[in-house]
Amino acid sequence: MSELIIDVSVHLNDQSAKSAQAQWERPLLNRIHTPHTHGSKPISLDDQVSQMDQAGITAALLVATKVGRAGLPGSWHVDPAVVLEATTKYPKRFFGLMGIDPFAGMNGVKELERYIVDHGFVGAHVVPHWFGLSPDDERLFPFYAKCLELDIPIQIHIGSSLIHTPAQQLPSLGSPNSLDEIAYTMPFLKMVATNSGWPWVEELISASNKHENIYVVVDKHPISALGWPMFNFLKSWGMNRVLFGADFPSRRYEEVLAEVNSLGLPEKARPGLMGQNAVDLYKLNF
Amino acid sequence: MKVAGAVLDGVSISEHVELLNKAGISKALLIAAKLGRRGLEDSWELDAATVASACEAEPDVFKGLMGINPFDSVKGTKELEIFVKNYGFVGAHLYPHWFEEAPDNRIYYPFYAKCVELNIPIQMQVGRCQRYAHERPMRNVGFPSSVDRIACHFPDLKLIGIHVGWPWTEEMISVADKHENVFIGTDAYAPKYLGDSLINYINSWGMKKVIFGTDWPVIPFDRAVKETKDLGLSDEALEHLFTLNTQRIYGLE
Repeated sequence: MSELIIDVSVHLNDQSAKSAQAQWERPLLNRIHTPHTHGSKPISLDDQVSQMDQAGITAALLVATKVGRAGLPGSWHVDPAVVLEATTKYPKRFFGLMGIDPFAGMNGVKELERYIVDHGFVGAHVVPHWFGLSPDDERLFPFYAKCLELDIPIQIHIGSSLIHTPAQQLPSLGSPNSLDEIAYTMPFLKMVATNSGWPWVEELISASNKHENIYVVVDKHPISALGWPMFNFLKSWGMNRVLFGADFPSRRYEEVLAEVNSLGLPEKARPGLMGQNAVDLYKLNF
Repeated sequence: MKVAGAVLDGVSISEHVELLNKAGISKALLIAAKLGRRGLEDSWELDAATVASACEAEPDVFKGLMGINPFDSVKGTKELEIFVKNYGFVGAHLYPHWFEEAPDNRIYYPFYAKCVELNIPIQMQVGRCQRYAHERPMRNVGFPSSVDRIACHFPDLKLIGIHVGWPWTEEMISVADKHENVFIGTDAYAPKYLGDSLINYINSWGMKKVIFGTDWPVIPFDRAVKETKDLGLSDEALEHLFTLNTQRIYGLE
């Protein structure tokens, strides 16, 4: 049996995504640690699946990405109906995550509920800094409460942010300690910190260790670049808290997997990291 | 705060109704109040089941309001939902100062969202708070501008700033005027001290924005009614203050 590998945070990169990102500056992508080799060519959903096949990725959580306030230059909202088409066309390969626009208020809360209850999406996803908000901003709390009610995890971008376009400056608001603030009154909310928390990796480890419902996705940055504390966390005391992600399309699967293979990961730590933790957390059925 | 000794000793539900009747008050919103985090000195709360049974015993008189403890998190929002749906509670109630955070603090937001979902109003204390106990002073958090912020985030939420808002009554009037769904409750202060600008607001441009209350046992029912009638309000303004606005906001027939 082939290895279970779940990429827990995947974005569409098709023609519609590319046109929405037209105002983004390409050089930004070179500033991510690894060379970005997808270039500016769109990747169709079918191509995305064949890349997963080639790399041996069992399944991926596909985000109905919402970044930036609607109307501002560089903002990009994926229609969740498009993600629903993908999860319908490729069941068990894609599971939907609902993107959150904190400014959508109660309409957004209702939309989240609808996609979870009626359409089988398995979680939520938010990038607070794209909205100029810290993860512990009050506007997000109705969404957090709905996630608790629906018993679904929410992925939250944690770590510094890039500036995607000069027309919309993005402050770095993803401090791991903000998750600690959320957990103050929402200790049972399952928070999944994406983007590895860098440059506050140890702060994220501390939050995840303190709160049993805070998980870490080691995506966007190569694990080896995150330093010894994270490597030690994912192979020992945080073995059940860390999830694999490639942050596709920002990194190529073969490159990410080659890097994981070169880490010298103990056998006992690998299944959880690569897939089992995600299956347990998101209650995925294959 | 002066409360008659007999009242402090407690009154039965039937005595309670009798006091209301004597003052000419036909209906009252009864609060399952929650004051402070459980376990801290002086924290106190009234079991919502007690309020539910009072409402059941006197259905023509009492309607329940569910108190909020933000630390109950999603268990609390569920409880709110249950008491609204199954026990006919008509709204929520919050004492932010007892939880030591301003009304626009994130810890309350799940409850505001639930109120919008259930389409029920929420009352919250605005204005300074008392120093209830020497050992546990509480800071003032009830700034009306904090309500402004909530109203911007939840334009459909019906918010009632209770306890008038003093010493920021002007500020409270400004927030109520700005937002269609923000209102003011005249409770907890003897009506004769409400102040000219609020009295003018009730009588004119804010006729549909202010509701009558006592915060009983803080203000005795008969005193509140008598002093309100003595404020020199027009009949129309008085009818809105005593009856029409509360009926409309709470959807009471």
